[in-house]
Formats: sequence, structure tokens, C-alpha cells
Amino acid sequence: MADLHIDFAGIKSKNPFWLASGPPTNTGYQVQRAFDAGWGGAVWKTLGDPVINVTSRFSGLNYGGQRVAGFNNIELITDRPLEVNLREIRETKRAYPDHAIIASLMVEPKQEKWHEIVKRVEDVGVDGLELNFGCPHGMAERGMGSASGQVPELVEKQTYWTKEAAETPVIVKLTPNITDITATAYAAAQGGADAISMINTINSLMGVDLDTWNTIPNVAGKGTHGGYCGPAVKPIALSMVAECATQPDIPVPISGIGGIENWQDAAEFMLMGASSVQVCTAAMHHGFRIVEDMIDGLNNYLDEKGLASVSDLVGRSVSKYKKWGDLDLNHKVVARINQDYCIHCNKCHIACEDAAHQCIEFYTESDGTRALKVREQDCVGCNLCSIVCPAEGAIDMIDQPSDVSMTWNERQRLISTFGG
Amino acid sequence: MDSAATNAWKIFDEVKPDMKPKEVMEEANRCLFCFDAPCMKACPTHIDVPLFIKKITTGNMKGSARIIMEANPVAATCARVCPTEELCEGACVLNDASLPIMIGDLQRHTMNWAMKNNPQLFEAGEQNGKRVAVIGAGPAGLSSARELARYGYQVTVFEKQAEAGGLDTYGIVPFRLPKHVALWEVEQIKKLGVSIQTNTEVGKDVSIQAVLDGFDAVILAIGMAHVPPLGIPGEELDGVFDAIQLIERVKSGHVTDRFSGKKAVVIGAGNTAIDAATCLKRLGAARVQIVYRRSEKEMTAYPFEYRFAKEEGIEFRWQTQPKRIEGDENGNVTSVVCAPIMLGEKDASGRRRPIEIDNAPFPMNTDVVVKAIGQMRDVPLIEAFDLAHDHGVVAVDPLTYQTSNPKVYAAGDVIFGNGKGEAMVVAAAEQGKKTAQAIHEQLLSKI
Amino acid sequence: MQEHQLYLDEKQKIDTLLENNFCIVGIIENLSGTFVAFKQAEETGNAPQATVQLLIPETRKYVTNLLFTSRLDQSVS
Ligand SMILES: Cc1cc2nc3c(=O)[nH]c(=O)nc-3n(C[C@H](O)[C@H](O)[C@H](O)COP(=O)(O)OP(=O)(O)OC[C@H]3O[C@@H](n4cnc5c(N)ncnc54)[C@H](O)[C@@H]3O)c2cc1C
Ligand SMILES: Cc1cc2nc3c(=O)[nH]c(=O)nc-3n(C[C@H](O)[C@H](O)[C@H](O)COP(=O)(O)O)c2cc1C
Ligand code: SF4
Repeated sequence: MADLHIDFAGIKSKNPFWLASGPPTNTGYQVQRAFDAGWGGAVWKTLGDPVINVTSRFSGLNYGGQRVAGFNNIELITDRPLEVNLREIRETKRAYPDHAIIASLMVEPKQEKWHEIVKRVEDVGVDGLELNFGCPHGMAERGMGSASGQVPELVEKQTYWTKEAAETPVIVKLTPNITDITATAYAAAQGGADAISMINTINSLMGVDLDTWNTIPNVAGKGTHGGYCGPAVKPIALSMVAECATQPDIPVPISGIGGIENWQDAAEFMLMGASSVQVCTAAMHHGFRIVEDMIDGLNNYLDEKGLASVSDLVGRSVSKYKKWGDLDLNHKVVARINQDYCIHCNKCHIACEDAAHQCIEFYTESDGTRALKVREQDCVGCNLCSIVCPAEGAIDMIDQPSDVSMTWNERQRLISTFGG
Repeated sequence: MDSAATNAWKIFDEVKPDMKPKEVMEEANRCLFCFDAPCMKACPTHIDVPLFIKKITTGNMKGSARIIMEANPVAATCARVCPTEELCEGACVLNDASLPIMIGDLQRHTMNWAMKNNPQLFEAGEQNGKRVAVIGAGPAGLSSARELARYGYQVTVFEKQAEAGGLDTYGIVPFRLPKHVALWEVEQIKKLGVSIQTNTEVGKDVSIQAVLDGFDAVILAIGMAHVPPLGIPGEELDGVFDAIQLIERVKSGHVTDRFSGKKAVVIGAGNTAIDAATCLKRLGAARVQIVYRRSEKEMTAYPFEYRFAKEEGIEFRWQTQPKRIEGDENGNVTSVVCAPIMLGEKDASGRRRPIEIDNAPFPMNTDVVVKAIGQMRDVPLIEAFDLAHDHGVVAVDPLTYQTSNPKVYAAGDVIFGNGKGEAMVVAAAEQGKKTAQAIHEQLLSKI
Repeated sequence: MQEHQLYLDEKQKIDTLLENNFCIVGIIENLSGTFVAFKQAEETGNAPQATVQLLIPETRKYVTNLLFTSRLDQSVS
């Protein structure tokens, strides 16, 4: 059994799995149930001036008959008075002293507002603070959430104000609705953040109802953009984590959020540099009990890899994340079809024919059956065929030996010496 | 209909319910959308299976129905009676990887939608002034009529029965294929301007000469006829029935209680035997046994039919040859005397030859005997048309379906001979389609 | 499309020039591909010249690989 304990910027937790701020962390009742189920920590539903929500608020993106490939919401922060939340946080912390409770905060970008709320939540014994600079809808129209999270100076300034008052670690939760997330990550670090977390939800409109022509979701026939999350956003979140983890001038721990559903997703975020992970949609889709397999699966994985502690996993893939110009142009793989596993759906053929390099051909075997073969010298190794192949093991991408590596940047430097 | 009658009919309701909405979506989404898909090749009518399934996933039910019916004018019937394990589903590439797509059920789902919503899927072609007569409104005749109408021919279908549809309407048991399904397909064809003259037997109500003279081409799609005699003593006793007539009566709404609580023996082990046996069970027969002189391996019923029969509680007596039927003093059947059979070497049909074991006959007590040993041919009609044939199987050019009289074409069961494929609705439909194409190609030059 | 054959054709051009004592003296890349300028190694000033336009990515890679490995060799030796 590996050690799953983490120390995230001073916040201790018995495993790296936290509930992200959202509906599952709305009340003490829910957070306590989550802790009973095994979650190591919870970021409380964002606190601030209580809002009034609209109905309906959520919608799901179904794909290929499966529910919730993506999820979208137009919910705001907590709609309960601060005192109520604080009382429940105090009770929960008292009952679960070994679990991490982080208070998520959102107030107007004014120094005294931040000072006030920081003092009041720290009074009830939270383990840390998370500044919500993320919500893309509603709160942003009031100058909060992503509206301030998109402006590096505002991120830096508000982080600084918080740090002036805070005694517990401060995590800055970043919005993905920005061209370069390292700009705001850097600003947070400059403002004194102890850690950053990402991503909050992505601007989205889930759909339009083809019968009523209403937006999805709709509020009395009207709709607005919301925040997108769930499995579909994982690759976006992961790249943002990687961007920050590879920047030497963002030297703070990262809490990875976005589309995490299981231990495998979590392990990927950790390999890319996250030292804790947060989950919202998956808990909404399946309930708190999903954490059991997250813990168990991660444990078995660490054992299998011979790692004694989850912290040994963190960042192991970061050095592999590069700029395109530093990739080896001479590396070559080609597709090879394994006839023993091929089920003859011919999807690779039509994919290569219509959308790649026209090099998967039919031929007739000695027994008269038709089969497919890759004309390897014309294969560019794009992977498309193996991506569309539904039969596990039927297409392998085979490494072709190459002597020297030459990256694009090296090549361009070389050409420049030939003075064009 | 009074409530007793309604209840009596309930037992003949379609056994298989439509797929549930979630089931449809899960199954349709499982389809790989193969390129050059083997299911499409395995379907005798070459329905573009991946495409009609893809359309289900996008909610384009009208498009899905059009793709199916384009290839197969009797697709609602086929979705119910095709031996899919041997056709499309048998060819599904997922057989090797997991489970084949339930193509038949998905097709049935789309066709159920079409029957409910009745979209106009096809239009008649611009009239080209040519007239074609189709004799027989079974799947072969209907399919050729629909295609010809789309090409612009004026088509007249002659049907001796009161309703069109052939065996789909009268021959296949209602709990597998409700009559309204076949009749809906007939309606679709009528919508294209095809004239279907029912209660009109060619050779009786209309003369052969009139048909030959009045049309530019004639399609003979008369199928097969009733069950041949067993050729054993006692066949005339009260309680001996022809399977096809029995089913026909039930499909025409004659629910009788004369089989209630009775013992029945069905002779033969093909589609018809199974349909007759399961029908008797639903009519209340206490015990139904199928008697077949060969073994389970040689029976011609499809595996799905065999499974269904066993589920319905039908018993099978293999390697048993009926010798004579015995009756009481009132002429009512009391038993069938049978002889046990050994199976010898393979004969010309590739099946082991049944050899009777002498001196071991045994009686099977029964009240009812149903003959289901295949179907006869309407040789007199074929000869009246002066067509070349082999024991009633009309000879045709395999590509053009032309008979020995170049003006007369033939399709469906009427050209089905032993060892040449299977007598199936889907095969009849494809032959009808091909015949229409051949006629069009040949008459086109004359338009 | 059999791009590999086109690659072999272009590669052949380069290899032939190199075998005939030409060496690469300039490379320009633009919207039309890669233009490689060759000059024959000769004592006298009026050396023959040649320019080859490369269209195929594999060849454009190949030609720079030739130079790259020779640079590497030089720096090792
Ligand atoms: C009990 C039973 C179960 C079956 N089960 C299946 C099954 O599960 N799956 C499957 O694929 N197939 C099954 N079949 C076979 C299938 O029904 C036939 O292969 C198919 O119906 C043949 O079509 P057809 O158009 O050639 O002939 P038919 O359907 O026989 O149609 C011929 C038509 O011609 C009419 N006719 C005949 N003579 C004249 C005349 N002189 N003038 C005017 N009209 C005339 C007849 O009344 C009839 O309507 C079954 C058959 C039977 C009997
Ligand atoms: C309905 C809903 C409400 C949310 N509310 C908050 C919130 O109040 N504060 C916050 O920081 N993030 C909020 N989030 C964002 C999540 O914390 C998380 O960053 C995002 O959903 C991505 O993670 P996931 O893919 O695991 O859901 C909310 C998300 C959802 C779906
Ligand atoms: S890897 Fe790309 S180019 Fe190569 S065979 Fe597959 S699809 Fe074609």
C-alpha cells in the first residue's frame, strides 16, 4: 500500500482527492457524506454575498448514446448567508479534523472586502482558502469571477490583498477563458499565492432545442452562456496544467481540476504536475462513492509502478512536455495491421483514404478473403487509422529506427547559417 | 368485436415488443458504421445497414425508413421474419469482437416508426406508357410492382385472394408477423398508383391470353400452393389439416376452439411445421408434437424458429415416419402409426437418407394431424402459360428472370427449387426488384 | 497518391549532384517549397551551379538531415 497523504502548500490531506467547489460541497451535510465516502478534502461552495439562482441551471452533452460527456451550468455562488455556511464548516471541521476544508471565496475586487471575508472564514478553522477568479457567467457580469480572473493585474492585486489578511494557505483558482493561462498564473504567483488551481469552467452554450428553438438550458425561453466542464474538458485542463508546470517562474503547487472522473485521469494530472486533484462533475453524475475506486485504483497503480508515495508520481511527465519546435522531425512510426485481431470493418481504410494519406489498401489473401495492408513507405504515422479502429490490438503503430534526432528549431538554425 | 373475441385475438398478438427507446439508442450507437459493410452484402436486398442505423442515432427516422425501403419494399415484414443470424447479423464484424448488432430489431424499430407516421417515401415515375401485369401479390410481386411504378410503368397486379400480401398476409403466423404489417406494405405500393385487383385469379377470372395480350410484359409471382398429400392411409379422416390452410384461417380471423385441450401431431420440420405447431398451441392444444423423419440436423426450420417452438412448449420427435392415420367409427382421427427411422449415407441433397426400421411401428395417440411437408406447385397454370419448368419450378434466366417465353418473367417461390437458396420473403423481394430492373432495361430500348 | 515515389525521385536528384562533387551552398524556404543551391567543388572560380526545388516534405527533411549529420560529424572530429 502506497502512501496517499499529501501536503499541498501546507494543506494536509489523507489523499489527493478533493471535491471541487460546486453543488456537491454546498452544505455541511454533503461534505460530511463525502468525507465518509473517502474524499480527502473539499473546497466549499464559493462564499460571498448570497445570490439568487435561476431555474433551470444545468445541461448535459450526450455523445453516442452516453450521458454527460460534457456538462454546463449557469449556477452562481452560494445562495446561503455566510453565517449559515460558516456554522456548518465549523461543525464539519470539528467532526472531521483529519480532512481538509478549503473555503472558496468571491467578493468584489476591493481590499476591505477580501480582508473581511478572509478573517471570518479563517475564524471557523478552515485549512486554506481558494480565490474563485473563474466563474464565467453571472458573477462575471458583476465584475467578479472570470471578469477579474482574466486581468492579470486584478489577479495579482486581489491575491495580494488576501495574503495581507490570510494566515492559511491561499490557492488561486484560474479561469480557462483566457488565451494564455500562464499570464494569470504568473500574476497569482507574483501576488503571493501559495498555490494555484485550474481549471474553472469554460464559456459555453450547450445547445439549441430544435423543436422550440430555445437555448439549452433555458430560463423561461431565454438563455445565457454558461460554464462547461466534465470529461470533455479534460484535455484542455491538462494542457493548462502542463503549461503552468513547465514555467519556472510559476513556482507554486498546482491543484488539477477539469474532467477528472477516475484514478487514471487523476494520475495523468499528477504526472503533469498537479499535486492534488479536484472533482465536481463526476461526483454530480455518479455520487460520492466514485472516490472508492479512485483511492483503490491509484493505490494499486502506485504499487505496480513501485512508488511508495503519491508524491513520487507528481511531475514525472513534466519534462516530456515541450514546444512543438523541440520535437524530433526524424522520429517515424508506421501503422501495421494485425490480421489476427482485425475484424474487417474497413474503417481504417476509409479514414486513411478520405482523410490521411491513401495508404491502406485491400488485397486478397491466399484463401480468397479480402484483407487490408498498410503501404508503409507512404504512411506518415499520423495515428488516424489506429484511432478509428474499434478492435483492440488490430493496428499497432511501429517505431521505425532513425539515427539522429533533428528538431524543427535545430533545422531552422541550420538553414539560417546557409543564409537563404 | 366483443371482449371474448378480443381476448381470443390477444394470443395472436405479435410476440416481440418493439425495442425500448434507450435500447434503440444504445444499440444503434454500437454500430461501427463499417465501410463496405459485410452486413449490407449479406442482406439479399443489400439494405445500406450502417446508414439506416446512423440515421436512427441522429433522429432522422424518415431518412432511416427511406434507406431501408429503397432496397426492400417489404422491409417491415423482413424485419420480423428474416433469418437474420444467417444474413446481416451473421455477417456483422462484431461477431468476432463482442456481440453482433441487432440489425433486425433496429430495422423493425424504424419500420414501426414508419407504419405509425406514414411518411411518403417514394414517388411514381413519370408515365412511360408501358404496361406490366404482375400475377400474385406476394412479396415478389409487390416488390416488382413498386419498382416498376417508380420507373414509370403502369402496373396491374392480379391476386386471387381477397387481400394482397401473399404468404405475408396469409401464411406466416400472426404472432410473428401481424397481418396489418403486410397490408401496410401493400398500401405503400398502392400509393404509387399500382392497381391491385384482388379476388382475381388468372386462368379463371381473367384469361391467360388476355394477360399476355394486354401488357408489354408479365411477371409470374404466384408462389407455391398448398401442402401435398402425405400419401398414407387415413388422410381423409376428420381431424387431418393442411398447415397452410390452417394458418390462413387463423390469419383471416377464424379463431376456433376446436383444438382446445386436444393432442396434435404436426408432420414436417420446416417453417410451416413450426408455424402450424405454435399456432395450435395458441389455439389451446394440450400437447403438440412435431414428427420428422430425419434428425434435428437436417430440419429446414431456422434456429430462431426452433428455439421459439421449444419455448412455446412444442415437442419434437425425430427420426419418425408416419405410416398411417387411424380413426374411430365416426371417422375422427385417433392416432398416427409411425415407424422409427435410421439415417444412412448422404443422398443427393447432402442429407442422410432415412431408412425405415421394419416391424417396429408404434402408435401416437392424437386428435389432430397437421400436414406440413412442403408446398405443391401450380403446374397446370404454369403449363397453361406454356413455360418450361422442372416439376413445377419455372425455369428462368438467372440474370433477367426471363422464362422460356421472353415476354413472361418469373420471381419468388415459383422459381425456388431445391438446393437453390432458401424460400424466403427477402429473397422473393430481391428477385422482384431484379425482375423489374431487367424489364426496365429491356423495355427501355423500346420506349 | 504514392508520395514515396516522388520522394525517391527528388532524393535521387540530390544524391546525383552530391556524387558529382556538388555541394550545398544555400537553402531557401518559401511558399513554393525548399530551394537548394549547389555548386561544384572546383579549384577554378567558374564552378558549375545548380538549383533544385524540393516539393516533398520527406526530401525537405532529408536534405537538412544530410547537412545536420555532417555538422555533427565535423563537431565530433
Ligand atoms: C408457414 C410459413 C412460414 C414461413 N416463414 C418464413 C420466415 O419466417 N421467413 C421467411 O423469409 N420466409 C418464410 N416463409 C416463406 C415465405 O413466405 C415465402 O418465401 C414468400 O412468401 C414467397 O413470396 P412469393 O411472392 O414468391 O409468393 P407468395 O407469398 O406465396 O405469394 C404468391 C401470391 O400469388 C397469388 N396467386 C397464386 N396463383 C394466382 C393466380 N393464378 N392468380 C392470381 N394470384 C395468384 C397467391 O394468392 C399469393 O398471394 C414461410 C412460408 C410459410 C408457408
Ligand atoms: C453546477 C456547478 C457549479 C459550480 N460552482 C462553482 C463555484 O461556486 N465555485 C467554483 O470555484 N467553481 C464552481 N464550479 C466549477 C468546478 O469547481 C470545477 O472547476 C469545474 O466544474 C471543472 O471540474 P469538473 O470537470 O470535475 O466538473 C461549478 C461547477 C458546476 C458544474
Ligand atoms: S498512420 Fe495515418 S497515414 Fe499511416 S496508415 Fe494510418 S491513417 Fe494512413
